[in-house]
Amino acid sequence: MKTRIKELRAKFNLTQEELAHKAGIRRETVVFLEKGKYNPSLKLAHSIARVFNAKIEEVFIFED
Amino acid sequence: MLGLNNFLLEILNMSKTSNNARLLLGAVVIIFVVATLSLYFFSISPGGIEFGEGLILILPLIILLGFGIFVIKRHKDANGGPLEDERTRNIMNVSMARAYLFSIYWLLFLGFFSEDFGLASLAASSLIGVGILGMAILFGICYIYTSRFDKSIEG
Repeated sequence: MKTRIKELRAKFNLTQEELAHKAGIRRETVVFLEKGKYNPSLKLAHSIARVFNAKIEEVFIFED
Repeated sequence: MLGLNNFLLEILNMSKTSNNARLLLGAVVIIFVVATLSLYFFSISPGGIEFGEGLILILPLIILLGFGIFVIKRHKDANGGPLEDERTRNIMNVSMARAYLFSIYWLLFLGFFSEDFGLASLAASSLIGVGILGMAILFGICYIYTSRFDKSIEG
């Protein structure tokens, strides 16, 4: 799974710490998500998408 | 010296939040573990510590050092969010499951091969201590592997 978190973070001018704070997660988790090394739950994906005012599928790109 | 004092005061003030209460609780547990291990190693050799036992004494110091590094890292990463989130909870669950599985084999190993490795001469309480210490080490290895190298963890 790929994510657009880094791109959206730059667009919204957010640091990893700020995104972590807004989504209620650890900064390390943001790092792992950006690298595609962690697949979030639907709840976490929703929390992150809500920070960017976007839909889940606009932030997370699911590949077959 | 003033910096150290401020650092200690900040750690003491940490009890206001649940995150920091966890850190304090962790520190208390670590102190108990280190004290127990130290007393245990001193008690098994009242006539003085031999070289091999001296090497084992390093273990509590490694645990203490590890916790010190963890506290300093958390102190620097003050805006890093909560101590625990979905990913860390999943890592903990997977680590515990793996450590439980490996612990069964570790205890079987101790049961079958304790005579071959000279452990049968130990008192029952000491042998139980070796078993528990092995389980703790296995958990540590499983936690490090799962948190750093396992890419299959999912929410």
